[in-house]
Amino acid sequence: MDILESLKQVTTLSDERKEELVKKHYAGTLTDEEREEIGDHIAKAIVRLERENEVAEDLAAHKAAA
Amino acid sequence: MAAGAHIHSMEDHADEQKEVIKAAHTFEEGLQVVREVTEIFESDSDRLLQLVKENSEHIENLKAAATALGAADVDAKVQQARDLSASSLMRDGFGPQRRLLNGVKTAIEALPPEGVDETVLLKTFADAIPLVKWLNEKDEFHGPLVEALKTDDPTETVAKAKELSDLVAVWSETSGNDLPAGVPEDLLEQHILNGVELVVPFFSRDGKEPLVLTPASVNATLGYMPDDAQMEAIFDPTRAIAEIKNFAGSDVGRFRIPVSNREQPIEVYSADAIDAALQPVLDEGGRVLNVRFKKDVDVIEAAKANRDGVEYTDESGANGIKSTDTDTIEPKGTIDLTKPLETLPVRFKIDVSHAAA
Repeated sequence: MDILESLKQVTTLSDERKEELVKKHYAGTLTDEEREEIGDHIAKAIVRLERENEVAEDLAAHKAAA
Repeated sequence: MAAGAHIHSMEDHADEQKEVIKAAHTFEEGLQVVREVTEIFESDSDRLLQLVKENSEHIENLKAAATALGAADVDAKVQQARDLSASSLMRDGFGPQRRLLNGVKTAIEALPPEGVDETVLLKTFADAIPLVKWLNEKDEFHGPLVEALKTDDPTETVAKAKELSDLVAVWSETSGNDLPAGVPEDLLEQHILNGVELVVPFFSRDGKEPLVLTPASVNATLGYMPDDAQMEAIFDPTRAIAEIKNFAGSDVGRFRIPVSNREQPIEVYSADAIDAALQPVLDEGGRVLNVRFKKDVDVIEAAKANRDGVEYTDESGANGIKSTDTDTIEPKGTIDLTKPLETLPVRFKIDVSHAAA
């Protein structure tokens, strides 16, 4: 799995910060605080995608009913 | 021209050009976001379901990335973010609403870069109208955006869009945990509790600070997301009118009182109640600038159908409904607000001023 590719969906972190964090991960120097930070941003991204799915499904049903 | 001055002038010109180019890019980026979100809306069911599938894959990949990176408690964080998202729909970039607003705002803030045809803006916004309307019907958006986008006149669209940009900025603030600057907390809380409104902007006591209360801002301030019943209570027009009284001491106030977007009509806007609410303003030498009904034409048409003999004029002053685009209908002559309009989901706006009549 390409971690950086997966993190493209995280829109609340800059690309530079993502790269920095992933590099530190592979270097084994990621701190607990940084893991916490990543977790927060990933969680937000997941929920944003979940909400977009809700809207998309809602829209699809709306269109199907129209 | 001296050589030094010439060089300086050229540098200034180059800086100006850079600013124009930067603004043009920002403008285009903003429009691009609007287009993307609009495209999602216009997609057919298959494309939408494909989007769901892709998003679901992204979610799985993100979870795997979190595990690989050793991020702890991601499930708990996701649940927290869900709760936040549910109660504060448009914060932190959640959802297409926020993206659309951000796109509109970005484009407007960069407006007008030199050489950008305003019809581009108009076309993009016009394309977004169905989406905004749909979101509005779902109560996930608020009316001003629809109003800001709904016109065939590019100049008016741009003017309204700029106004919208200001509203969005304030709305963004009120959607957060911090109250907008200059708005006393107790005042905001009072208005949320007593409910001038949740959706439409009004202005603070000094008439300078537009304030937009949304379900999200209620949640941010009071810590709960109003359910439908609470929303209905907050939309109680009698309470709203009482709030006008509270604001009667303001120098200039503008109150847009929404009772729209409800399937069930909200009753009672009596002329007496409005007169009573406005009396303190009148007593102090103020005057009512206008009382204006604002609603989509279909509602006005419904009003006409339900109210034989009452004529409405559009803003041109012509009798009847002339344009399907106008959403501002001036009642012609004296309006008896106790009559059938009270059974319709209408919205009206009262502008008051303390300026001597």
